[in-house]
Amino acid sequence: MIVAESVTVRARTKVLVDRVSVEARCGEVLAILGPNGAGKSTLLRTLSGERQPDGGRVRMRGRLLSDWRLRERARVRAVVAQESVLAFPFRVLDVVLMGRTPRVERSESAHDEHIAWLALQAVGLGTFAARSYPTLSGGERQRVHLARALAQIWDASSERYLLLDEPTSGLDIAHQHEAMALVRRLAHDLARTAVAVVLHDLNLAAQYADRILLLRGGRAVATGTPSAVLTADNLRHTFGVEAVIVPHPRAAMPLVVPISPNAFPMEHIE
Amino acid sequence: MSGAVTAGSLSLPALPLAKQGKRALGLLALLVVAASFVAVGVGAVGIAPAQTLAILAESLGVGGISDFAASQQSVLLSIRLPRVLLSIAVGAALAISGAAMQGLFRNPLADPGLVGISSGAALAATATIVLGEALAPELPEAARTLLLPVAAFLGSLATTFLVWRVATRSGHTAVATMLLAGIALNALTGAGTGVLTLLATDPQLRTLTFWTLGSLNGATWPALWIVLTMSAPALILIPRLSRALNALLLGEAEARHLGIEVERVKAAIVLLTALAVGATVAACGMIGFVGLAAPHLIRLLLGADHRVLLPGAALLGAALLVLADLAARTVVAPAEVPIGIVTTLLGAPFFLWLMVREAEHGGLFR
Repeated sequence: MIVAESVTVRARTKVLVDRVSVEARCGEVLAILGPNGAGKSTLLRTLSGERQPDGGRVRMRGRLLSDWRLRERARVRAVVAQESVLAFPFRVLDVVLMGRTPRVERSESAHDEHIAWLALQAVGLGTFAARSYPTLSGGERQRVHLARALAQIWDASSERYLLLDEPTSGLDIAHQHEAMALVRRLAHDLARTAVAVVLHDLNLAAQYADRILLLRGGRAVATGTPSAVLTADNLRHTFGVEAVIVPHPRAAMPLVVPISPNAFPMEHIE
Repeated sequence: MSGAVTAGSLSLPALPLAKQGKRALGLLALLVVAASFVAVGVGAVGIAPAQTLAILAESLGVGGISDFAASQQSVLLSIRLPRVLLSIAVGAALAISGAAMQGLFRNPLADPGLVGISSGAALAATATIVLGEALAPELPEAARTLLLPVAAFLGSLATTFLVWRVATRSGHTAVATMLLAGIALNALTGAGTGVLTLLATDPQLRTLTFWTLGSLNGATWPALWIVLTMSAPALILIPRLSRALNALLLGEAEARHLGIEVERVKAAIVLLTALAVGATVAACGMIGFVGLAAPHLIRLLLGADHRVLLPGAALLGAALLVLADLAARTVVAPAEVPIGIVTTLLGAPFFLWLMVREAEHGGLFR
C-alpha cells in the first residue's frame, strides 16, 4: 500500500497539492481525476517519490519513500509518465527490456527477455518486438512504455505498485479499454498490485476504477467508489460542467453524460 | 502476473540481434587488428605482415617465423608500433567519450571537440608549455611530461562542467544552447591560444601548431602509457554504465524510476570523459570528429543500445584513427599532414550531412 498523509506540494508560492491524503491499496485501481491544473500529475509524482512533498508524508509498505534505496524501490514500483523523450533507434523489445534494469546484475538473462516478451504480448504488441521504436505511433509508444512498466514489476515478490499518468491519452477507444482492462486485471487477479492512474475520461474511470480521488485546485474534493464520487454536484463543483449521471446499461456503474456547457457564452466571441 | 496473462504456447521470437551485436563487435575488433597490421607495415621502410609477426614473436622470445632486417625491427618497435597503439588508444578514448556524452546529453551532436572540451584541454596544455617555462624553468623533464596531461585533464574537466551548467536547466539539456556554448568556448580558447602565441618563443610556436592541428608524430612508449593509464578508466568503466545510459535516454525521472542513481552516473561520465579527452589532447593535440562520427556510424549500423554502442564505437574509433593516421603520414610523404586536419576533412562534411539528414527527420533540436 502507498499511503499519502496530508501531502502538500508547493512551487515557489503556488500550492500545487494541498493537504491531500490518499491510499493506493493492493488489489485496487485508484483513479485520480480533476480539471487541468488540479495537481493530479504532481500528486502522482509525489506518490512515486520523484517529487518530495513540502508537507506531509508518503509511505510505501509502511516505510517513508525517502528511506527506500532507488533500486530497491524500482523493483516493486513502476511508473509510466505522460510522454517519453526517447528519440534514439531502439528495438521495441529492448525498450521493454529496460524495465528489467533494477533486476539486472551483469547482463539480461533469458528469463528477463522472456518477461519482456510476455509484457509486450500483454499490451498487444507481440508482433512489434523487432520494430524500431521511433517508427511507432504515439499510441503504440504509450503501450510500449506500459509493457516496460509491467516487465519492471512482473516478478516482484510481494506487493507491487503501478503509477500511470494518463496512459490512455493517445490511444483509440479499443486500446483505451484494452489497456485499462489489463491494468484492472493486474490489480484484481492476484490482488498484489496497487494501481494509481491519472485519467481524463470520467467514464473510463467509472468503468475501471475501484476508487476515485477527485481533485480541484490541489485539494481533495471527494474520495470513494465511482458511484459515490461521480455525482452531478461533484462534477459541477469540480469541473464546472453540468452532467446527468445515468446507470450504465449493461453493468452496475455510473455513466456520466455531460450536458452542453454554457461556460463560454457566445456573446463573448467576436 | 504470469497467471493473469496466459502465456499459452508462447515461444520467443527469432531475434538474433544480441548475437548479431556480438558478431559485429568481433568483426570490428578484426578491423582494428587488420588496420594495425597494414599501418605498421607501410612507410619508408616496408614491413610485411609476416615480418611484423616475426618481430613481435621475437620480442616475446619466439624466433624463426620469418626473416627481417634489423632496421625493420627498430622502425617497428620504436616508431610504428607505439604510434599505431597510440592511435588505437586515442581513437577508442575519443569515440567512447563521444558516445557517453551523447547519451548523457541525450543528443547525437555532443562531441568533445564540438562543445569545446578538447580545445579547453588544449588551452590548458599550451598554457602549461608557454607559461610553465617562464614560471617554473627549473622543473625537471619528468615532472613536465606529467604536468601536461594533468593540465589538459583539468582544462577538459572545467569546460565539460561549464558546458553542462550552461546548457542544462532542471534536468533538460538545450541542444542549441549546448552547441552555442561550444562555439563560444571554442572562440574563447582560440583567443586564449592566440594570446599565448604572442608570448611564445619560436620552438614553442611549433608546439602550439601541433596542439591545435593534432598529430600522432610524438608517439613514444611513455606517451602511450600515459594515455593508456588515463583513458583506461573510461574504456573499462563507461561500458558498465551502458544500462544506466540506456535508461537515461528515457529521461532523468524515468531513469530514477528504474533505480538509476542519475547524479552519480552523470558525475562519473563527466569525470571519466574529461580524463580520457584530457589524456588524448596532452598526447596528440586536438583531433576532431572521431567522437562524433564513430558512435553515429555504429548507431546507423547496430542501433542505439549502449550495450553494443559503447564497445562498438570504441573499436570503430580505434580503426578510424589508425587508418586516418596512415593517410596523414603517407599522402604527402615524406611530409606529414596533421591528423586533426585529416579527421576534420572527413568529419566536417559528415557532420553537415548529419545535420541535413536530421533536419529532414526533425529529430535533433527539440
